[in-house]
Amino acid sequence: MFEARLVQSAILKKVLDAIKDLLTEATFECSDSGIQVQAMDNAHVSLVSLNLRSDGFDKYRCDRNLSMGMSIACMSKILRCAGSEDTVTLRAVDNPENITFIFESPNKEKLAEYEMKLINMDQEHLGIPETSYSCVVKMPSQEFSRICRDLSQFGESITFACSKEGIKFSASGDYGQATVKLAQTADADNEEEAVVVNMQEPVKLTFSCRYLNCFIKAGPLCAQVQLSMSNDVPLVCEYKIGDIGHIRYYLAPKIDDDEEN
Amino acid sequence: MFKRRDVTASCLILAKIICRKKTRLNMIMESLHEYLETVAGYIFDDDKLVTYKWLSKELEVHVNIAKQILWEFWQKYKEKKQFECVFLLMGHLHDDGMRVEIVKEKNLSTAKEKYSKIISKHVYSLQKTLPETQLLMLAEDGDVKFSGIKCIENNERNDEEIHMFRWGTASREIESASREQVQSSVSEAASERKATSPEGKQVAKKKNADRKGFDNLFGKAINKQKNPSASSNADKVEVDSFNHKKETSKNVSAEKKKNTQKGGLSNFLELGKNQTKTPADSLNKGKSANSSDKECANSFDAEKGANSLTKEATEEKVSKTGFKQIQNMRSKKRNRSKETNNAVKKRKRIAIQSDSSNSEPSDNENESELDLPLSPESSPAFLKDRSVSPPQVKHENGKRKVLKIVDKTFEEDGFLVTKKVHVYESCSEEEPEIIEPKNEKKIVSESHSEVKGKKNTKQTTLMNFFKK
Repeated sequence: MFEARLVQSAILKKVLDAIKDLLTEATFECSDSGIQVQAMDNAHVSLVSLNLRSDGFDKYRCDRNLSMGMSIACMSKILRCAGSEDTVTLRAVDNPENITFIFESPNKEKLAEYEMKLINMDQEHLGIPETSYSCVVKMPSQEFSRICRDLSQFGESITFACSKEGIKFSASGDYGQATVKLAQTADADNEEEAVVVNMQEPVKLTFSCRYLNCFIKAGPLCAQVQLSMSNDVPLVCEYKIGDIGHIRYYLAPKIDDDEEN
Repeated sequence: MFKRRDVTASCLILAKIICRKKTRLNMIMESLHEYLETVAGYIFDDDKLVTYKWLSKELEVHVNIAKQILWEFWQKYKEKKQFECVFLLMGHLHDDGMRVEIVKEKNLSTAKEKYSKIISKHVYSLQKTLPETQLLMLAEDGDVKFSGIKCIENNERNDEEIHMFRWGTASREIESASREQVQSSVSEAASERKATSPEGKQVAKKKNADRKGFDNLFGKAINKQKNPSASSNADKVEVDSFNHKKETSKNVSAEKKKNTQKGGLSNFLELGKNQTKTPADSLNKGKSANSSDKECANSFDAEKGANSLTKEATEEKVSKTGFKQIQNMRSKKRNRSKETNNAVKKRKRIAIQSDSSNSEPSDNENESELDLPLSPESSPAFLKDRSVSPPQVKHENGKRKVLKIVDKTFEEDGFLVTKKVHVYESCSEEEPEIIEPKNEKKIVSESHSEVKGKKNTKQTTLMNFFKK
């Protein structure tokens, strides 16, 4: 028996919005410690790692470890049926073929149940090595979203260049070049709006706009985004999900073709 | 005794001659029957479009005989069998215009109403079915050997060309026109030289030269047509009338010819009024240095008289002499008709000064479709891409723009995407019209290479970094 209850269905809605562009289906690993999702997009360029801790739920019960393959599109549709104030409960039996979504209105007058068929999926769990990144940048997620959207109009990829002064985003394309520089905030009195650069050594990486624009869909989950970068390793773009977990996006960098040859 | 013998001898000779004549007649009838059978085969078995020109080439007979064969065939079988007949009509319209057209049999009576006087009517083609008279364009041309008239510069024009002629022209075309003028003037001179040498040996050559000279008319017609100012349809009619007059001249009696001449003259006078003077025109005329400008009218009259005379004479001779001589006469006649053409030119010039009001007949629209000037061979761009329908056009800042479908390549999400895009392109000139799309592509590809040159990046996958 698996049951997870979340008073704020809005959180789950936002999580689904954040991953539905990248993933078509994903395996939800449910264990005593919580729910974990790890899935790559079809091109194997980006990876979504979602972690929802059990203590973050209002009620959490997981008798046996379950891995449930779910269609993200379908799940997103179901969650769209929930009111933002509703309470959501996920329920499944031990050897499940279906998962049930139960939406309760705050005044308990409305109860909606949605049952979704599970899909069999190959296990494809990647071992992500623990890395100490050369640069860790924290910045307002809104700002990051804005930059990604703006620069993606100029080119298909954005170069992140991080130095002591701050972080520089740049894109160039047929129309010209665009550069946005963010300096480290001097006095961090407002934590949410601060730009914090934690740099061991300068990095310069290029990433595809297409994926970045998918990542920023997670912006509503958290006011701050954390970008972890090292040269020639994937970018980690992390959003906290309230106090129940986090969503991490890994994005493989674009590398110079000449270098490779 | 001697006398009687003489008489009997002469009687014998006479009898022989009659006999020979009879056999000849029989032979002719036989061959006619043969021809009719062949024609039936062409039409009903081979499903061919049998035009008189094609038939003359195929049977190796004179075009007029071919016409006669077709006529006989039509007379013989029109009741018995199902096939379509197309007639060629030529004559004067009620508004003094001249018109040559091909009409289907069923439309013949209505078509005839347009004419005040019909100069020539003959079978143009026979075929099993003919949904469109324009299909006859597909039929092969005749052979000059059998007096079929063919214009080298005569190209079928596609819709775009027709469009161009109707909506104004490009500078490039004018260029090509001027080139043509030079050519035509050269060939004209050549033809003149040859015309002066009366040697019978040169008949064949002369013929060619004549044709060139004749073709010049077409070239000139084009030039006139090409001027963007209101080009008169009348011009085309005139040229056509000349063309067809020759074609059918043998069908027509001498008397009729005189009429033609007159009609032609009045026609030209009318046309002359409509003429709009253009630099190309005057240039052309300047080059045709055949006669002085002063006494145009007089010389023209004289020429006309001479013409009609010679024509009558030739007609007589034609009736007496054989086929070969006809050809000889033809070549001479062509010389004459060329002269008249020159005269016509002079005539026009005078008329230009007198009046420039343009009173186009009501069915000019129709005429322009039929009698558009012949397209020069120096526009291969046109011939290459034949469009089914004329492109959509809009006018912007005085420039004509044409809606086109253009292949555009752009980068989208890391992929090169080529799409067909509707683009309004200015087509004031022909050259850029063709080159533009190429340029665009070049630019795009260049920019791509630039981007790549700057940062030749390649997307890596996470599989390079993470292990299963």
